[in-house]
Amino acid sequence: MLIAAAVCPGAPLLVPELATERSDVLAELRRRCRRALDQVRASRPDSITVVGAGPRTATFGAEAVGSLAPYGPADRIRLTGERADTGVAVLPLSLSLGAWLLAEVGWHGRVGGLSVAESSSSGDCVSLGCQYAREPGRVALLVIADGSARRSRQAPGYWDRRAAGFDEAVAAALAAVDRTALLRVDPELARDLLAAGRAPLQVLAGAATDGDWRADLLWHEAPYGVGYFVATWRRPTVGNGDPGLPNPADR
Amino acid sequence: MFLDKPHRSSPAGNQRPGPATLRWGGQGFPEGRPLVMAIVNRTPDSFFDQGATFDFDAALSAVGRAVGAGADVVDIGGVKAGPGEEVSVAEEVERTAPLVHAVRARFPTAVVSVDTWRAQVAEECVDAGADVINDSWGGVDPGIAEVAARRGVGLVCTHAGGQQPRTRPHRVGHDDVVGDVIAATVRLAERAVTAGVSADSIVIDPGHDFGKNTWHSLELTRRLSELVDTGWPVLVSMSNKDFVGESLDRPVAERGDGTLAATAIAAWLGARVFRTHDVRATRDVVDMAGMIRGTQLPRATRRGLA
Repeated sequence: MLIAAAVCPGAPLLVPELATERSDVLAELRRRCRRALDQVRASRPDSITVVGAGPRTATFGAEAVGSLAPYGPADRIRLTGERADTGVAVLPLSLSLGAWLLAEVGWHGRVGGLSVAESSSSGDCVSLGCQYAREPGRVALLVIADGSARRSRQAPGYWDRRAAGFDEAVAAALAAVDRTALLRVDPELARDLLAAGRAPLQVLAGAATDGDWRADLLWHEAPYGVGYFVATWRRPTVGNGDPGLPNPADR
Repeated sequence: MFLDKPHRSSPAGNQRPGPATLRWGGQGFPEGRPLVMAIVNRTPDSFFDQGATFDFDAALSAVGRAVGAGADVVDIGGVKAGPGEEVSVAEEVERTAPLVHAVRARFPTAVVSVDTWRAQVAEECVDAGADVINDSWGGVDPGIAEVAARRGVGLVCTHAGGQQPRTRPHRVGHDDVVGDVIAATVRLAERAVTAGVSADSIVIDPGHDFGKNTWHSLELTRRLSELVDTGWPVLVSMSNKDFVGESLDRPVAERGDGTLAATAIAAWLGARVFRTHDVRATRDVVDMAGMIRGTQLPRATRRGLA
């Protein structure tokens, strides 16, 4: 059963070695991502699966190798976060970044990876998500997802008047654990707006089945013309029915 | 030896070397004779000058200054590289072709190049007297090579990483950026030869910043000799670009020195054509680099010789 999920951006500039600019904004973004993952870890998951967009839909084991080297000076790493000196890099950028984020917060538990094809229908995404809802044990997801890359004239995809509203709607859905709203996001519009997060977020919507959720939208801005979300969804009651204790990661 | 042959390793594998002498506009430019290509944009919105030469007369005077400062080639563009207002074919022709015509008439020795990705615009500019088509978006319109072939003009074959015109790279990854650039530019050059473009009028351009992040552009500058080793003359277009700006953390107006440093290194590594906003400085930098390489003679030696 899914007990917690974090949403983080899929931007290579999260990695300081790739984005050398000394930037308060980036420092803050990295801090928020770390906090989101700390919150997920505080839910004591048995495993964390990284979900992100990729060229095709595929699952990956812990030893799968990813690489940020195509984007600049960076190592190859496994989903486990360990440096990979051997093996061919097969993980898409989103999962490589997820592995890097997990390594950053020192997660040494079980890991997995799910790459979702951008072309996946919303229904495909829900089916993929349902597997995590049904999976035994305490399952957590790290969803690598972005809003539109067309948020400003300086944005990678230039400005599109629909982009800000699109991202606002996604952010509101994340803040309200509004699965229906996430599933309503139109794949075609998302593609037009260069929003890499549509499919992975719809997997999340499929995985977060009914029950109480507590949402925390930790960041929602577009400092470089790309909409970034940092958010968590957690079941407020954890473990064997014990009421959720105040979470040290929240302080 | 006071005037050395430029150092060149042999072309790798079966890549066929281009001719040593570049022929543009009825002139021959041998190796060791670097060309400075002046950027003149008839655009209201280009990133560097924000439309300083949009006006026809302003553009023509800019050409005069560039030629006076030592430009061999004048590269005329009518659409800014970045995203912006849509420019129709007719509008682009209107911006470029009359200027090409005027430059041709007023500066008969200057090679005139037109910076466009559209075959129709290229053809109109060739009608107006252009000698070279600078296809800076990397063969998006295959008709461009056919125009160059049919009309017997030169062609710049650029790596833009498959980006559509006027788009910015977004999380573009390259496992081997230099390999990608060589494969794409050599393929374009060979396709052009097959289409009938004269091989000695083709140059390749790695396309700094186009479909690349700063790491990619730095690496391909560092490894430019590998492009030179293909045998095709190499054009570099680095002037005031983001990879310079990000490397030095400088805004657009403060990238001149960084551009010249990159220019010196590209010249040292064997680039032959240098597209620039600053003709006078570029002329001196590439000539100085050539003199240090031993591929050009110093202009006025006297010291200790009297």
